Amino acid sequence: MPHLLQVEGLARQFKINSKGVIDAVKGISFYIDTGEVYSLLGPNGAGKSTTIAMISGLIEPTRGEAFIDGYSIQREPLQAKRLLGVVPQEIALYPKLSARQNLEFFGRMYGLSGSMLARRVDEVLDIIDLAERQHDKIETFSGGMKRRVNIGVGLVHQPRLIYMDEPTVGVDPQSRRRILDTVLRLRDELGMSVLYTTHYMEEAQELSDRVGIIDHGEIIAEGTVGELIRQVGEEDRLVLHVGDQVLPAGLTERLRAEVEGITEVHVEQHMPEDALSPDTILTILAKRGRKALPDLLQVAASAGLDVISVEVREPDLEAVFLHLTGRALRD
Amino acid sequence: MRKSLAIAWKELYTTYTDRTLLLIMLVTPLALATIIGLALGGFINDTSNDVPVRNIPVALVNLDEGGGPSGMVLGDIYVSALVEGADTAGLSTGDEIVCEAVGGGAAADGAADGGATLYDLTNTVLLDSAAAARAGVDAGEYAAAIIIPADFTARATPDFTTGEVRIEPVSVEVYASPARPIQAGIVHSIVQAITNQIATGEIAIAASIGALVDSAADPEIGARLQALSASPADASAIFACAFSPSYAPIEVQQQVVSGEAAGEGGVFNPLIYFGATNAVFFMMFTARGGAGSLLTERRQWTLQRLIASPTPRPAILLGKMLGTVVNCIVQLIALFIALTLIGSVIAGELQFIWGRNIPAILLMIVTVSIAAAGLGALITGLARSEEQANVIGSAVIIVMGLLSGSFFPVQALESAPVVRVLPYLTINYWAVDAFLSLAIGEGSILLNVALLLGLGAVMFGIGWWAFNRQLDIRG
Repeated sequence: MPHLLQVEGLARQFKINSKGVIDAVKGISFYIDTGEVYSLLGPNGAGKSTTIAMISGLIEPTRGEAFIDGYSIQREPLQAKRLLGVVPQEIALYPKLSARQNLEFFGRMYGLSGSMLARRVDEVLDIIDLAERQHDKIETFSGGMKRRVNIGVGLVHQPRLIYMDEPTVGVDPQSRRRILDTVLRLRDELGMSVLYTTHYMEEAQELSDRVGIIDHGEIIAEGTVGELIRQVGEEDRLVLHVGDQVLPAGLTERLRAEVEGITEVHVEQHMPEDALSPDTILTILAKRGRKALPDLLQVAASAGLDVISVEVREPDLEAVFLHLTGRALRD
Repeated sequence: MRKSLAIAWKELYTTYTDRTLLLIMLVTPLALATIIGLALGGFINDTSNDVPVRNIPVALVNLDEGGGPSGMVLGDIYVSALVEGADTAGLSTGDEIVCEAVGGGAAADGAADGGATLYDLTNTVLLDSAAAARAGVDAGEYAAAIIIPADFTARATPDFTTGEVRIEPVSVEVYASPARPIQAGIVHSIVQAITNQIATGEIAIAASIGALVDSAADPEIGARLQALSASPADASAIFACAFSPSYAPIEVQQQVVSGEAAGEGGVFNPLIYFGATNAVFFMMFTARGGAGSLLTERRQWTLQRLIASPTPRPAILLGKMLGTVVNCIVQLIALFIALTLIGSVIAGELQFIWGRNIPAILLMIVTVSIAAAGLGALITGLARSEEQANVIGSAVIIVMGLLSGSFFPVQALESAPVVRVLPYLTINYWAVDAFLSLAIGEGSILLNVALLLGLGAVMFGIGWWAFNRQLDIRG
């Protein structure tokens, strides 16, 4: 049985000037089955959106091919596109039209009309919980409500596969929760497949049946959340905030040498809003992190470092990404 | 096609629910045309602010072969009136006694009343060839050519011998430059006045002879008039002084840039001219904005959403262009109706601002809308961003408007030879030219239609190709 989405070696180069090109995506392959939520997890600029743009026919791949239910997006675009719902990261709506008018307009673009269109619009308005505001113009909506209509437009023609490109960017926690619930409902109640891109590790971890971790245009790891976490073993992540202090020379080497269980020490600089100097954050991977914590703090103190706060995190996708790339997802 | 219609409907809906856009599309050009029209027009009786016009270049071709019972050549009256110091052998000055008796002897020049003479008003050159005169107008050398036909006198002179005074219809051709509507309108008015005077004079001659005989105070004059009544040929010759500028000058107060006569009368009306120029000028902005909304849609990602749907790209472009063209058509029709109403209210009678040939007006409106949409597509295709399209588009439209006389008659710039050619490269010129032709009820608009459709098609083609190249959108 063929996969609902089959991506085979998709690659895309962009000209950056008359002499050079940049490889935005370097031969990505993955698949999604019916009723599956697949997340592409990676930092900004990793190639997620370019991959999705190729899958949805917005740009031509330099090489490779994508199939939706067996239809090639390059060679049979109209058939393939009918099966695909699109939820871009941007609020791709007409602000002067009402929520209902937006849904109807894009429904017509997918060939719906008459009573079928009206019925589907009503159903989608229920799914996104905006039936009461259906006649209000989009420009009067809050950010979260616009996001929900943005998702609704992708659903109106009952696609078998829907892609959502960072759908929770810039929304308040309440709206974010509602969007995540909608995604789960699409899979669990409507049996739809979802291609979900995000740089929020928590979302990928909560929603995904499988996750592809993408970096520098390549999928560097793929599997269920459990499978990926097992790649980094049972290591906890200890996050030490030291404010704008300068790290004492040789501290990272001392930590590795003197504290039992530490495997990796990463130092990041982070510039908080309204701050004049960057904060320094030490991210330490350690087996049985809670047990290692007292020794770790003692070494830091003896080196003259005043630790402001400490977080101990269980193994997660953030740790996987850190383990695989040496960088945090938010970089 | 259904998808294209849905896209076009969306364009129209978003346009006509936007009050600001409607203000720019309809109210602004209407107000501007009316204000300019009233400012320059003769709708207001106060002429203190009128703008004088002098030395209008005119070519006069007198082909009149005479043939009336008096032996006069009435065409010479035009020559005498317009060409200073012209040799008008066919125009006898007659007997001064008669002219004294009718109270003649008025000053030849209107300057005595503070007005300008026709010699001041026009700079008329006498030519032999009608074709040469028309060519001179086409080349911009003359604002108008006056062509007196060969049978003018023969048809215009009444036959006294039958006892019934009757003048056959006869026409004098005024071949005017559409690029100089104000000056052309003035020349038209002058010719109309001279022609009316000739017709009036011919009729008056026969009617006056009897009365003069009875009322002559001097018995000698009475006896001579008595004798003349028996000889119509001699009477015509003597009364010819009635047509001479020396005795019965064609009264010309200083001619002004004004719209005394309505468009349907064939004389320049500023509301017609500036109505057409402003309607086309502002419609161009509508067209650019409509086509440019593709760039807006790309920025707000609705275009990408359309492309990601099973809608072919040509259908998307067709829908956008259809919406733009319909918007332009609606705008021009609304302005035509509104300007007609304003003109009618001012004139006190129904006056169709661009004439009564409604099918031709509609054809022109559709044509110029297509051409303008083509220009909008071209600018959209070549621009890399909305801002660039706005700047380039506005600059192109304003320059086209200036060159074609949207704000002032372009003949004011005629000293620069290049300016004579550049208007022909603008959509505005061909559109306004056609609307003026329709208003006057003269000339064909087929050339205008063909040129505008051709321009529109070429620009749309280039714009489509260029924009399609941009549609490889990075996510």
